[in-house]
Amino acid sequence: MTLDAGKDIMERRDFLKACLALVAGMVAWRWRGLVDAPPENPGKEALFYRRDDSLAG
Amino acid sequence: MNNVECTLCPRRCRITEGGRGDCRVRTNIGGKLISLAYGNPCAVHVDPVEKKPFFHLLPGSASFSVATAGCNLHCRYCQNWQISQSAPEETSNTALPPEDVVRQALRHGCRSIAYTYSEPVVFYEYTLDTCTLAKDKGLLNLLVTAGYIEQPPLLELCKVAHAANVNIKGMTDDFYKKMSNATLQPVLDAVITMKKQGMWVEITNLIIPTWNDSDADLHALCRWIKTYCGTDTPLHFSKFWPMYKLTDLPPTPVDTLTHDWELAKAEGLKFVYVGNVPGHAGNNTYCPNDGKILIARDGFKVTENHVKNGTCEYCGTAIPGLWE
Repeated sequence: MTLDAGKDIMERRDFLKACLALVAGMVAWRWRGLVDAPPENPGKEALFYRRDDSLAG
Repeated sequence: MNNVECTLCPRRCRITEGGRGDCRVRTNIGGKLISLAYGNPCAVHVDPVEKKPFFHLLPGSASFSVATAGCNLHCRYCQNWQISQSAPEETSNTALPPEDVVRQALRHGCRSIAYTYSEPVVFYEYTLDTCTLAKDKGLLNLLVTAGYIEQPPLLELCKVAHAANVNIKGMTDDFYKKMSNATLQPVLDAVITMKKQGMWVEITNLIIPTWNDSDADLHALCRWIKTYCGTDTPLHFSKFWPMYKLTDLPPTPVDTLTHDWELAKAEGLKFVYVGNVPGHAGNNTYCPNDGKILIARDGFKVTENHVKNGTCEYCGTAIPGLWE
């Protein structure tokens, strides 16, 4: 193996490492997005209704 | 027990804990009735106000239009059934609280907010809060509704809403029962209340072949409008298109709509329109005094406007509407 060939392999390894880091980052970002997603709409109490305990539960 | 009775619309749904109202958006959680539609629209668009349709209200302006899932009617021919006959969890929604609706309406240069597409009655609290904020910012609030609502909530809404296009679907209980699973009288009562409370009201009637297109139906509608709303009230006849559960009927023939247009004018209504038929003479507004075209329209586009300060530019006749 020549000196130049060894340098080439090292560069390829760096490139692969960078790719892996990028993919890991994307997965983490997506996961965080899922985890931190806003809660389901909680709604709001209606203005016009009444309790009706005459109904059978 | 924890049961509740919803008193928003004439259905008066009795809802046990965990259950939903007929509208699909109001649910009983621990004995409290919760609107799942609040701040949760599934449709948000900027439309010409003519699309609602409002023909006597800021012609040519844009209206910020919102809707949520759900409806308290179940019309067999619903044109927006994908959202109106769905629950909020079945539609793709956007978190948009009332203040953001108003902000976006202003940012898009709209002069009004339309509560439309499905039914503002079922997203009542969202409509009411948004109307209150919008009114303070100088925007008009427009309800596009079937008017199936109880009087107390309607009276509250009338305080902040400026105009309504009420879809009177037919003039018999039988029609309402078979086509919409509802009743007629609450709708008529709602229109009368809106008028009495000073709202600008336009009426739409979708003409469905063989169902509500008889001359007797049309005379009944026109006479009711004359008696309770006045001859200045705009009436829109709209073309039916086969949809949802009513696909076995043809679209309304243009000749039928033209006949209905003529009939309503002969009954004395001054502002009668034909909708969903671009290029029809019934798209235009005519001066009731000199007969000249006041507002020419091509579909939803205003091509001429001769209403100046609420009057006919040619003869000075006052034209009713919200023009400024």
